[in-house]
Amino acid sequence: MAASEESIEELYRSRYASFRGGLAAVTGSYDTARDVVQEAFAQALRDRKQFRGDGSLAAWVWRIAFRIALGGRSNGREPTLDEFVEAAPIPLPERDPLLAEALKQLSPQRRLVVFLRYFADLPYTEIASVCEISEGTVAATLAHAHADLLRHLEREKASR
Amino acid sequence: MSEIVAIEERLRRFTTAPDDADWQDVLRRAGLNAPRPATPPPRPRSHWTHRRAVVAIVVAVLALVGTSVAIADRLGAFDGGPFNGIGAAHHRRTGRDVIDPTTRAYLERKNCGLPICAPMIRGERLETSHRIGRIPSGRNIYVFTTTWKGLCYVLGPPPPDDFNCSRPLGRAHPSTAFIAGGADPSDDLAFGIARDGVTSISFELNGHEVTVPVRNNVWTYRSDSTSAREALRAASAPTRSLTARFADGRNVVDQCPTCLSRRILRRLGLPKSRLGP
Repeated sequence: MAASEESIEELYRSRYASFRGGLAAVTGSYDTARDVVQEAFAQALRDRKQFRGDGSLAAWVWRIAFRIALGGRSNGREPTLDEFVEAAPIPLPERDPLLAEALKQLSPQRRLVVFLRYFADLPYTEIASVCEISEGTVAATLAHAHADLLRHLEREKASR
Repeated sequence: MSEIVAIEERLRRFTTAPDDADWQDVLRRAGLNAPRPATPPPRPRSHWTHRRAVVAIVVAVLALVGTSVAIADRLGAFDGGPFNGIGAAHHRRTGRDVIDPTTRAYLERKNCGLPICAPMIRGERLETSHRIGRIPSGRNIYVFTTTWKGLCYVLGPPPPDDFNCSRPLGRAHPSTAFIAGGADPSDDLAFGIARDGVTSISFELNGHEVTVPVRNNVWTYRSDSTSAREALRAASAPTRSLTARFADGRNVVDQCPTCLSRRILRRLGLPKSRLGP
């Protein structure tokens, strides 16, 4: 089952901002994220016959986007998504410096799931598909992340 | 529970991405709407001899030019390579041109020493650095070259993520452009390195044309308004397209100041999105 050009275009038009937001969190820059989104959809168009339909089209394009974001970054071992997220700065931290600081304190896996949920606005099923984990793990990871963020923000509030 | 709702709201407010989707650009990158080049008409055989003569002349002229450049370079007439056209970088290298140790360490870390690295800086030649100016907050602007003849620039000290490399400046590429940011809000600005003879740079920001003067090959733009800074970062205006005004009245539009050539992209393993026009 190949993806049609129309379905990819529809996904692009309806979810562009989500892709850009999610990838900004991964790359640390909205500018770089735009390039990655454009390139990911271009690659999805070129490779649309390779889409097997065993997951959602969005999850397939997300995986392409992550590969592009990770690719060309090193001439040695390719970094894992967790490592990439850990090293990426939070985009536009001045919007909410306390929250940005709290996000930085999250473990890479929790931060990634938070990014995909809130920056990319993905439902649990797609986060599970992109990260290749179960939906239950997504829910648990998010719950832990919320708790970590609250704890950090409370601590900051108390210290002021 | 209400605390969780509050943190969710706060996260959503934090993460609004600009919506500047461009499907035509995706199609172009995918090669789906690129205009096909017209098939050239077959050349008559009689042109062959003439063509060989022209090639021989061109090779001879290039050899002559190359020799002259080498001699001039040895005599210290100019630094050559990617610094051509940047008068501010044409001086004998002194201690002031040496990148400070913190910034240097940062660049070396970025040069693929970690899992996360910056491929465009591969082959960096920090020993070629020249200080060409300062941004308003006082950080130095250094330029340096790479083994692939890139023109690289970095701000420092301190050294946040403010460096990049571009193709050397030329007729169609009169200026670099970069959006710099840092912990200090006064570091949040756009800046670029322009060719000799460029007097000002213009770009569009939020539907208005912004024009900034070029002094000693450097231009900077910053705003005290947080919303303007956010717009600058989100739209990345000057890195998309800019117009350089020359002292002789010429205007040159650079449609992609951050793009690299196909050869360089292949060499560095970067995506085609940075392909120049």
